[in-house]
Order: sequence, then structure tokens, then C-alpha cells
Amino acid sequence: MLSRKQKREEREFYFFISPWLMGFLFLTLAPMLASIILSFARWNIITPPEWVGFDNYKELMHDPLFWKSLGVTSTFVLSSVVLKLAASLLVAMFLNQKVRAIGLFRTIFYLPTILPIVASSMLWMWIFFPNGLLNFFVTKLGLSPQNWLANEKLALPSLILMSFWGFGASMIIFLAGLQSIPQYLYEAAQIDGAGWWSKFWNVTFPMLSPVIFFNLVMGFIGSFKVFAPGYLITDGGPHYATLFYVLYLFRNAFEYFNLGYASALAWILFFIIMAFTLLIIKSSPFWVYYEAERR
Amino acid sequence: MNKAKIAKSAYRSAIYVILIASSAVLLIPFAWMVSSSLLSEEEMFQHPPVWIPKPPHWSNYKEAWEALPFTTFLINTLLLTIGRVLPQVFACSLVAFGFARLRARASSKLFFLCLATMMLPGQVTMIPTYIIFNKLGWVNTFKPLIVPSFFAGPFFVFMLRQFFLTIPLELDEAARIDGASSFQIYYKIFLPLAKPALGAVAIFSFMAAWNDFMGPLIYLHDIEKYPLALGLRLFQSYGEYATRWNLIMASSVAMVLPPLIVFFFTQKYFIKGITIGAFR
Amino acid sequence: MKYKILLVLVIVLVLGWTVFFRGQPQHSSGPTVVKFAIWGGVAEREAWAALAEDFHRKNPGIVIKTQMIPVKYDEKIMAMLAAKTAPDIINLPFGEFASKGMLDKVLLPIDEYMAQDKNLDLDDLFPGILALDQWKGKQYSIAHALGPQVLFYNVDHFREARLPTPNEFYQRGEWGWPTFLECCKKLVKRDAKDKVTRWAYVRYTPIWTYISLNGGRTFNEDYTECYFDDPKVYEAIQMVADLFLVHGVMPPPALEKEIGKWQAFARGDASMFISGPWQVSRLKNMEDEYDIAPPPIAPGGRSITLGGRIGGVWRGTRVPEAAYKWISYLATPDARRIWSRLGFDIPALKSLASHPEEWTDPEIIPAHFHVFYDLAPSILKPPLAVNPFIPKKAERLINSTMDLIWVGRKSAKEGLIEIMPEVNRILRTGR
Repeated sequence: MLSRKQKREEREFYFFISPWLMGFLFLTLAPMLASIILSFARWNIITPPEWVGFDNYKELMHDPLFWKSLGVTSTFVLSSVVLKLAASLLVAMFLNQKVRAIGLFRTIFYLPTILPIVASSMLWMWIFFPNGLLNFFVTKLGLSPQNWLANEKLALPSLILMSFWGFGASMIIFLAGLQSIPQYLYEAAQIDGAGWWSKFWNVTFPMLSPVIFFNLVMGFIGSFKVFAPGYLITDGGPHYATLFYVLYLFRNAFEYFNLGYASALAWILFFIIMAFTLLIIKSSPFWVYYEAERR
Repeated sequence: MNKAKIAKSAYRSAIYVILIASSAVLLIPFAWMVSSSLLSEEEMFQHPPVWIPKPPHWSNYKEAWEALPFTTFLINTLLLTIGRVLPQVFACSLVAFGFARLRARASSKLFFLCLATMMLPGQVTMIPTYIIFNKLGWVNTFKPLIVPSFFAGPFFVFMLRQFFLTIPLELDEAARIDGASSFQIYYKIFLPLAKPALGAVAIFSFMAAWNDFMGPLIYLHDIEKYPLALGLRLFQSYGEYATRWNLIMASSVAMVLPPLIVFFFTQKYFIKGITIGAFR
Repeated sequence: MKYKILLVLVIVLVLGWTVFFRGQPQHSSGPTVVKFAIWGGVAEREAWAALAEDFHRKNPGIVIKTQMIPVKYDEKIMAMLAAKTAPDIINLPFGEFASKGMLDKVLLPIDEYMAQDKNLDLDDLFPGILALDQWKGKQYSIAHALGPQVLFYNVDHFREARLPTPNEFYQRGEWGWPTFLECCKKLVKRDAKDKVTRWAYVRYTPIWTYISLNGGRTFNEDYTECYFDDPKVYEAIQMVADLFLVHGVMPPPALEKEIGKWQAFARGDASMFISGPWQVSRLKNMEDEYDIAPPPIAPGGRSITLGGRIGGVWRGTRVPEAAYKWISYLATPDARRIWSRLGFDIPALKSLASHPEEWTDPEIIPAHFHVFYDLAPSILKPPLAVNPFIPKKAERLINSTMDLIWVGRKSAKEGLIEIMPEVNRILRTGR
């Protein structure tokens, strides 16, 4: 039995968390259940929904555009997460070398991530055009100009480049992580005669691994949901080259009004993200180092 | 000077060169956006590109602003932003306090649930949520965009809870002995102490609301209700302006400025906010 | 003290949640309100407002509320249909609903209202135009205007190239695709490095226009079958693609977004494009002189009309009669005068056809304005030559294949025949 005081505290607890609890029930749980049910139905909004069992999921397996969008998205996720992580870690390590005006650099690197996606999409569209800025630099370097957005092979890399521009967000987290590594560890390594690689591999990497882990998970989840560049800049084209998964889902839901099919797509997305996140989490004991007192 | 010193200073200058060069590359698109916004019609399609417009066409800003009802877009954006930031900060701090300080049997399970919803892609709930709001007749109003912020977002709850945990327990114990209620402790002790973290939440939700594109895209129909994010895109659909890239860049600059200014003045909170989530 | 704050807090939260679960506010009584949703920009909005005002003067009991949806009109209407909150008059993606066999589930036939309507002068309408809004023998709306696709050409450029104008070619009976192509080759301007500085033609009108001009038909009447394997269909597309691929007189797709299409024409960076009457008001400030002419039509071909449909009465409306009155009003000469004054389309009324000075601004119309009317009889010959409103999914599929055709990765024949089964499947199932 709980004492009166404990009971009161429980009541207070539920009062305080009620905004989240209500939101969870009405804006997360209920829609989730509805979405599961919807994914087993066929509904075009005008005529009543029709129960079709696993048909939507079966159809999905034979839908070339489903596989195409999955491929496009995976390519985007892999390249942009890897590139961003590598660049942000590198820059953070440079900045951590007791550099002057560190605040200024930090601001500059972070700046691109503040841009509203619509504004940055317009800007990059203007840069990628045949007579645009990128081709100007490309020809300066003696290479031939390209149709960045209209070329089936270059459209996706162009959007990856655009997303790479925003690597500053993870850079700031890395920098904070680096700054929290105690200096004595490096001094100890120095005494042992460690070179820069050995210092990185034996001190920096293990101490930073929880932060790398965090950035990896966040970057992965975030970039798997990419939508706006494909919608605003390339409209999924040319010839599906930038048909991101969420864009395809959006089209099925809000353009074709195949709401059941779109719900099935949403659940597959959920399972993919779940599976990969779990994979990263499960693999973490092998490479993420937590200090004893934290674990 | 000995060899080691020379090597060290060479190393340091190399770092500076790399940093300066890469930040210059990063800044080029910004510079290009600003300079493009000042180009004249003729300069716009010139080769090689014009970097410094002569003279700068400041009138582009006025023309772009008047080409579409941008004043309305701005007012809508401000309404939406304020309508989303205030309830968000309030609701999140309440919930975070509950999770950080009050004991209940289901507390840790519920907190785990809260964290788990962070992983859920919004697309899963998007369609049913849309249908619900649609049935309520809320589509084409601000309600579907504002009302959800009354229900705390899990990421901000997590951020604030982490911060609340750093506040010494002795403070609220002392207050309780003086007869303070939980709400008074939250209101009189935690809120004032957590100002930096609350600031971070406010700034983050400001940025999210200002930049939000998908929400208004799905829920708003009338031009009169468009925020800037949708308004800017209208240039593409209004034939007359689809290729006036100088005007498009001018309104992009105008849209970027407010978050930029907010960022410059609140950098500390901002960085605190970003880093607090990463270190558990 | 603490309970006061607590109380306020609870009230705020409860208020928040009741707002959340409260339904739509009830409408108060008063004049009958007819809600009407339409696309368009700033200029169109003013024109609609003027029409609504005139209508209200003539029908004091009815107020028209126009909702402007500038982008993604079809999608937004579908969403409102789902919520059963659609406006009283909606302009549906006709073909999409027709091909799904659902038109009658959404719209109310207006035949009965039309039979009792004394203001409607059916004899004044262009013969054949009613077919635009018929489905399975029932009338769903009254089209009152045409948007014939004509050729816009830069007179100065033709003069400079010492070419007879398209109108002169046409009168001599020499105007067709071969002549058009010859003109293109002479009109295009290149610099010393062979880089094009001025394009002869920009692709603006939808592909259906070229197919029809070439004498092809793309879909059957019910939009349940496509004829992509008809040589007249794919050859038309190939001819247009070749303007870039073979002849280099049309900008590549990559450049179209940057320099624009009709915008390039308006700046004098391109010499010709095909479009409808709404361009007249857009081009009024153009520096060079421009004119219109019939597009290059192959034997057996004809131009098509775009626009001119305003939609039908939604089945869920509470005010069908008032909604019908608005549709009927829009087909009157008074309404057409107001609307067409701003140069958006061509009234499909005989009484106005021969008097353009009554409803246009003579200052801004091109010399051969009558071409718009000259094309009407051939366009209105059954089956009507119109923009097919096919399901979005089929449209996306076709557009993606066009991506490959425009850049020469696939021939038009190969690309179109390849997607034919899938397009037919979508047309038949609507999914």
C-alpha cells in the first residue's frame, strides 16, 4: 500500500505529465492504431474503405517504385551520414586545437543549418542551374559543366552535397564532446610516447564514442525522413532519381489518395528505422565506451 | 628557433589555413544569395556571373515584398511561431519537472515510452492525424499547427529533464520543509533556475516553427493563411515571377534574417541546448 | 495561493483540450452563402471578386465566397471531400473521377435546373461545348469559355530573320511542322562559340497539344484506355523532343527552370511558344512586338482547348439551387465581359465572339487575335479536343518517362509503349 503522501505525489506526477500523456494518447497512440488498421484497407476517400488484408503489403513488394525509393533513400542516408560525420569530426578536432576565434568558426560552420529548408532549396536550385554558380567554379577548374539537377546520375549526389553543407550541427556536438575529454589522458599518452594516431585511436575515439553513437543514431533517423529537397528542388525526378521514400509516401497519401497503401508504406518505414536503430544500439557495446561511473 | 617549434607553428598555421578555407567555402552560398538578391534583370543571366551588382538593386527587396502578399505571410508566420513556442515551453517544462522530480510507480516506464516516441517517424501518424483534424474541420486553419504544441514534444521534455536533474535536490527538500507544494517548487525554484534551458527550448521551437514546411503544406489551403515558408514557394507557381531569381533570392534573404539574428544573439543557449541532449 | 495558480493552470489546460475536441462552429442564418474554390493568382482573384459582386447585385439573396487555392488545387479539394467540408462548387480532376467511375458520387447533375433556367441562353453557347461537362448522358457544369492553344511569335525576330510570318505561311497553306522547323532553324541565334543566345522555341503547352496537332488521340472518351502505340501519338512527341535533341533550337529541360518558358519569350530570349489566351495579359508589357497565329497543324490534326471549366455542384452542398445559379450566371454575356476584360480566356458565346472590343482591352491584344476564335469550330468538333484530366498517378508515370524522352535516353515510341500497360491499368483501376 502506498502512503497518503506517496499517493499524493503520484497524483501530482500525473498532473504534471498530463500534457505529454494526452498528446501521447491522442496524437501518437490513437493515430498509430488507426494507421495499422488503415494499412490493411483500401481507401480512396470518396468511396467507403474496403478491408483487403495484407494486399497493400503484398502490392508493395511488387512495386518497383517502392524499391526504387528505398534505394534512393538508402544511398542518400549512407552518403550523407558518413560524409557529415567524417567532416564534422575532422573540423571539430581542428577547432579543438586551442584555436583562436573558436566562437567565430563555430558560428560559421553552424550557420547553414539555421536556414529554412525552403530558402536553402531555392538557393541551391539557383546554384545548381546550368548557368549557375557551381558550373562557374567547375569550368574554372577546367572541367566541363554539368546539368546537375536534370542529369539522372547527378541529381541525387547534388542533393547530398546540399545536405552536406549542413554538417555543422553534429560538429558542435563533437566539439563539446572533445572539450569534455580530460587533458590528463593526453598527457599520459604523451608520456607513453604515443603519436597522433595512437592518441586518436586510444584516447579520443573511445572517449568520444558515445557522442559518435548519438550523432550516428540522430543523423540516421533524421536523414531517413528526408523529404523537402526532393519535393522542392527536383520533384522526385529526373525519372525517379530523387524519389525519396517519404516523398513517395506523401504522393500516395496526398496526391493519389491511396491512404491504405500510404499507411503500409509508413509502417514499413517505421520498421526499417526501428531495425537499423536497434542494430546500431546492439552493436554499440563493441565500439562505444562508457566510463565506469556512468554505466 | 628550434626545429620542434617551427614544426609546431607550421602545424598551427596549417590548421588555420584549413579552417579559414573551409569556412570560406561554406560561406560562398550565403554571399551568392545576398549578391544575387541585388542583381538587375540584365545581370541575372550574365556569364560569368556578376558578383558585385553595379549599382546594387535594393529595390528588388521592395518589389519582391510587393509581388506577393508578404506582409500577410509574415504576420501568419509570427502568429504561428508565437502560438507554437509559448505552449511548447510551458508544457515541456511541466512534463520535464514531473519526470525529473516526482516519484510514481510507472514513472520510469512512461519516461522510456516518451523517449521511444522520439524514434517514431512522423509519417506513421501523419495520415490518421490528418484525417482526425480534417473531421474536426480544422484543415485550412492554424489549429492543426498550434494545438499539438500544447502537448509536450518528447525531445524537449528529455532536454529539460536532463537539465532539471542537475539542480541540487537539497533546494527542493528545503522548500518542502518550508511547506511549498510541488507546483510552487516548479514555479518558484525550477523555472528561474532553468532559464538557460528554457531559452534553448524556446529558440529550438522558434526555429522549428519558423522553418516548418510540411505542416503548413498539408494543412493550409488559402493564400491568406500562408506562412513565409509556403509564400516563398509561390514564386515558383506564379508564372510572372518563376524566373525572377533576384526577387526569389531577395525574399529568401528576408526569410533567413530573423532566425539568423536570433541565432547570433542566443548562441550560448543554442549550443547548450544542442549539447545537453548528447551527453547523458 | 498555490491552489489559485493550480486552478488557473487546470483551466488553461482544459480550455486547450476542449478547443482540441470541439467541432466546427455552426453557421448563422442570413443570406445564402455559396462557397466556390478556384485556382489562380492575384489578378484572377480580383476578377472573381468583381464577378461575385455583379452576381450579388443580380441575386441579392446569395453571397459568393471565393476561396483561392493557388497550388495543388486537386489535392486540396480531395482532402476537403474527405472531410465532407468541400466548397459548394468544385472543379474536379474530371478524368480522374470519370475513369474511376465516381463522378456521380461527388457531383450533382444539373440537367433539371437547366431545364427550368430562363436566364440561360443555350443557343448563344458555342455548339458542342456542353459536351465538355457531360458524363454518361448527364450534364455536370456549363463550360463558358475556351482556351485554344495558339502559337505566340516574336514579330521582330521574324522580321530580323527575313521570314514571312506564320500567319502569312498559314494563308498560303504552307504552315505545318516542316515549315515551322525551317523557321526555327533560321530564328535560333548562336554566338561565336556556337552557344545558343536566343532560342527559336520553348516548350510550354502540355504534350497533349502536340499529339492533337499531329492528328493523334491519346485517350478514349471515358479515360479508360490510352493509345500510346498510335504512331501519330509518339511521333508528335518525338518531333518536339528533336527540336532540342537533333536541331538544337529548343532549350534542354535542364535550362527550362532557370530561364523559364513563356518568361523567356517575354524577355525576348525565345522566338515562339504555344499557349492560350491568358498569356495576352501576361505579355502586355513585352518590349518586342508579338503576335499570334495558328500552331503548326498536320493534316487531320487540330489544336486543343485548356481551361474554361469552373466545375460542378458538390453532392454534399446544402444550397444546390444557389450554386447552380452561379454556374449559370458565369455563362452569361455580362459575366464573360467582366472576366475576359482581364484577358484570361475567350468567351464561348456567339454574341461576344465577333465583338472582341466589348470585352478586351484593344490596346493589349495582338493583331491576329481572331485566331483564337478561328480555331474554335475544329476544337469543338466531337470528340472535343481538350486537356485530358487523368489520374495523378498516371500523369506522374507519363511525366517520368517524358524525362527520359526529352533528353534522348529513350525514343518516344519506346518510352510510351513501354508504360502503356501500366497507364491502362491505372486508368482502369484508378489506383
